[in-house]
Amino acid sequence: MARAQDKNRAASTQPRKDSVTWGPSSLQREYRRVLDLAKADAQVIIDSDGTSLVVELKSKAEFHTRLRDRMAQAGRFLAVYRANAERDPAGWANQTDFPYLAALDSDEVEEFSRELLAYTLDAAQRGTLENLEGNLRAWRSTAGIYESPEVLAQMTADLDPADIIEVFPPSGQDIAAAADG
Amino acid sequence: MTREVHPPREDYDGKHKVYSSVYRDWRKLCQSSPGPMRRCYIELADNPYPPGQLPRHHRLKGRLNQYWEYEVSGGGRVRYKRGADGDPVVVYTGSAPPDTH
Repeated sequence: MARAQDKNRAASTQPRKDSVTWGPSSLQREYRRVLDLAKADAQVIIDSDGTSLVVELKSKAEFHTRLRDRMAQAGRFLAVYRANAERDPAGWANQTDFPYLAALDSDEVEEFSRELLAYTLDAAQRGTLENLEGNLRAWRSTAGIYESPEVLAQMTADLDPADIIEVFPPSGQDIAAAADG
Repeated sequence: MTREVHPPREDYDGKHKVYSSVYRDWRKLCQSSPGPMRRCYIELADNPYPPGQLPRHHRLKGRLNQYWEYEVSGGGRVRYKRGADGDPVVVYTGSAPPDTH
């Protein structure tokens, strides 16, 4: 009898591994374990009023928020793009979250569209926005260069081998001068 | 009067040498942002053509897809292409347009 009671108590305090849910009592008794497990995987707590709550790493929660924002941006872009695919990007880019696309031609915007979807899905799968953010910055910089003819000309000019010399990292003098302000 | 002194820094011995056609602009940015430029140099010397697109270091797009960009600081940009021997050749060192910071 006593053994059966112990078994029942254990069942009520230990979350089932497959469900990974905790009640208020088990949370109170085993908060340390809940917190430790939450560092690896999100832990679900069902409050006495039936509300489901989740404890997870802040970085994961922030990633999900940023991913949601990026997916919403992508959705808005695709809606505008599909409605204007035949038009010059300069005529509709400012309706999207990427107004710099106005500097690109239609083929480039098509490439941007394909990559936006691919990189967003990749970010969701890999759990990091790094490549998505990096690719968007690359497109933004490219558009910025297109809008600066002098910079574009400087970058794409034929190089005279005589003008190319090896460069080095900042010298100790540079560091000292910067520290002196 | 006491004055703080700094040890001389050794040149970094990376996998690649770094070349530039805009030596004066490179020096100017080294003088104004020595710390970030040292990190930039190390990145260009060791990993000039990263396989992924990183927020600070990425391959440009469209007609400029033969160029890479490293974001030195908020406004500083170093842009380069692959030289004949595979070493990076910096072709632009300067600021980005204000709206791309």
